[in-house]
Amino acid sequence: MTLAAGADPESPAQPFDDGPRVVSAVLPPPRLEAVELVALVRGAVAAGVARQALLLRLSALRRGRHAPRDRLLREALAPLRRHPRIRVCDLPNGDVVALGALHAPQLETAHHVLRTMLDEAPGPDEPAPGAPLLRLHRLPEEAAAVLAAVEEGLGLSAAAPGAADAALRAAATVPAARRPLDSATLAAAERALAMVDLAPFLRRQTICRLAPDPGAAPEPLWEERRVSLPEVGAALLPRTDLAAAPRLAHRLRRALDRRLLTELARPEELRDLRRPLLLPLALESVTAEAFLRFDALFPSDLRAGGGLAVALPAEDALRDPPGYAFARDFLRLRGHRVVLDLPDLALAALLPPPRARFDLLRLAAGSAPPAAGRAAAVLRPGAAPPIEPGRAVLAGVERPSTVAWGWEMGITLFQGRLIERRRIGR
Amino acid sequence: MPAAGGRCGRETTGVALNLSAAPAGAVRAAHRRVARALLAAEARRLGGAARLAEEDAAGGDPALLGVPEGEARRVAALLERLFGPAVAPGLTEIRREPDGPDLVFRAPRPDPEPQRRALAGLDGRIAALPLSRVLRRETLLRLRPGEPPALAGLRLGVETEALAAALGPDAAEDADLLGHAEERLALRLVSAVADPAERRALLGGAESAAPLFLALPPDAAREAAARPGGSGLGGGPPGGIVLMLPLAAIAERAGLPAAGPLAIALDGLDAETLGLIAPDAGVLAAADRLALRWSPRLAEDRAAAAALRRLDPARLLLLGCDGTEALDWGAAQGIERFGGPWVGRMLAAARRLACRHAAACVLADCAARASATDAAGRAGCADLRLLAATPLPPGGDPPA
Repeated sequence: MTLAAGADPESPAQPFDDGPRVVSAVLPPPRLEAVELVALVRGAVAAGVARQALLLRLSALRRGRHAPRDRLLREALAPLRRHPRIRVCDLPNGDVVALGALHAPQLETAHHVLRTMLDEAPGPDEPAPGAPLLRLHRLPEEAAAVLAAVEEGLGLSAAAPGAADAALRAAATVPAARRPLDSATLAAAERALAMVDLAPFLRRQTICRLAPDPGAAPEPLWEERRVSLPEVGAALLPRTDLAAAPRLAHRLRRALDRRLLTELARPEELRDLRRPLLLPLALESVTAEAFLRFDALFPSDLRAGGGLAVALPAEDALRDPPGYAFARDFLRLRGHRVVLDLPDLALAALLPPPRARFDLLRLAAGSAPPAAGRAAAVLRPGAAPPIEPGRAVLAGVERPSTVAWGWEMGITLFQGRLIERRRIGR
Repeated sequence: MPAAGGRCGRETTGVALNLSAAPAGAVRAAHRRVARALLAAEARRLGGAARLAEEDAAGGDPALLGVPEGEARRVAALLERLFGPAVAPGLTEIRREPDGPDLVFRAPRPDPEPQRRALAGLDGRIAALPLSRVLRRETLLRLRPGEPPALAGLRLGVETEALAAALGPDAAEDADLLGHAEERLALRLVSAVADPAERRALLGGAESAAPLFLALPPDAAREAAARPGGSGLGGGPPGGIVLMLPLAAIAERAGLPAAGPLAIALDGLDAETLGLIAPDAGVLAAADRLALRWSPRLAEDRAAAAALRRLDPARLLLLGCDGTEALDWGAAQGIERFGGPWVGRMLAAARRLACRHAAACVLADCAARASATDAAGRAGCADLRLLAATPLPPGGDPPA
């Protein structure tokens, strides 16, 4: 399972470190995004790091008209916001979560102050007993409760407030059971996506030509920019199983594509576009308004050199062949390259270049290279090899033996952690 | 509302893409969006008087106005190259524009915000949908030269058109939402087929020694394959079950289900799909059967036909047959198993020959009732036993 460890410099576990990380800003962010908070909580769980999270459910207080007290409570949080070692997250529903080290004195003091304020002036709007307005949670043991509060704060919890409180009390263990993605959760996630900062989830990797000559340096051709759906899913919907509803997950993928393309179409992003770009997109995203806008703004000097490659999943192409043919012809008409993403080498023979008419094939290499005999059988059935040299990319390259195997198959284009290291190492 | 702008002093040319003249169902929203975007790009590139025609609310066709004739011809050729194969050839039109009221270009409207409210309630609407409303039963025939026709199987599956109609345009326009609904309903279909009483209700008593082809999306097929029992689905039908998956399932990371005693068929190999794939690729050997979808374009693809001839014809089915042309093409390929509206009508005709109540109904009704999967859909038939089991000359398909 992949989970978003986010931008926590202290977290030793980087379970999805498949590319260079993107630092979204030079200065620490002024406030913690909900997705980052989730990533930090999950990171603490993954690494077994003890932390403390202060949860103040201001949304529960809002039901009454106690604005003055609300302000006082917020003021009591002010020292936490100024402290460099404490991260404070304001959830969209008004709830506040402050995260710090275990027994951090600032957190304990704030907890004490807030507790006193709440005890001294219990309002008529107190929620039902047992649903604490204020609580100091201990991580990683009570991570589920914090995650539940974040989900509720993002409006992702379809349950009634009472039920959420019950879940909060019950959820003392990690991991919580994951429920399948449903349409109501997807609708909320699509709304929440608009507020999410994509930067922590953006991955860049370079597709390089690497010739089999000894000492040859990787020659960068395209930079891939990808927003990982599983990572966003893990952060935005930590207790939801996306794979249980693949088509709803695919729609969420399209929503992510829309966000990424909108970001890329911003003037400052376009200005910084110097190198050829490879974008993996869902098939439908190619003919959606967000891509058409981005395409209209794409720098003409890059376009002239085929500076945009769009990678489409083979699964999408097989599900909608007329849609694929149209998207492919449209992309080429606009001067872009069409890449077909294959999850399995065996599919290469199913989609021969003269029929599927893509520019490049991208094969996902497992961490171990496939047995040479099997690959040869797959790639060279009969006389005509389906893979022409220079028209296939081997992605996910982690070991030199994979590159060697690729060369054997006539592949000279590679991407993966090994390639990134070699590029940086030089 | 077209707004009158400046007037063009001289005669210029315009290019229109007459999407409204395309065959019904051929135009997608994406075609319209892309046509507009391409013409807008040309208008920006050409500058001057070049502009997009204002589209009216009724979905007027995208057009580029105010360009020199040479440019108009170039743009028309470009549109033809893209939309000819994708929608229909010959939709581009070059118009001479007389000096007349000018229509101003307005930026294309962004997509309407996705109907999130409809999305949020979608699962509830799917759960409330009666399975039989979207489910269709289809009889497959084995036709072999010189032999009497025989039953080759029954196909049971969610009909996409019926599902789209039941869910309404908001959900139906999104292929992912439609696919999701199909997954949910197919899971219910798997449970229904596993229950003998429910299965009888769905099939109207039509069970035979021929296999039951269950058309299921990948997840539902995996669920069906994972069910315990001799034939996979608790004491399944006598002829055995063939799980019929969409071709795209082969490209999923999870791969095809390990079907155990069940056979696997891949569905949806239509002309467009065969234009993309090599049907004789080794990876398709994982499927026991391949279901082709008839359209006249299928007969035009000689390369695909040649590749199909390299396969064992016993593995192939030809579905969607709507006339003798389909059967002739299939027979030329060596295909023996056929399904589709034409087969349905042929079976209805055979039933009417044996039916004492034939005078009281018409062939189309008889065919429609045979495809229904509940009592309401079969209502009006006076001989339900005959409806369930069309009398065919002896010589059935051996059990799978």
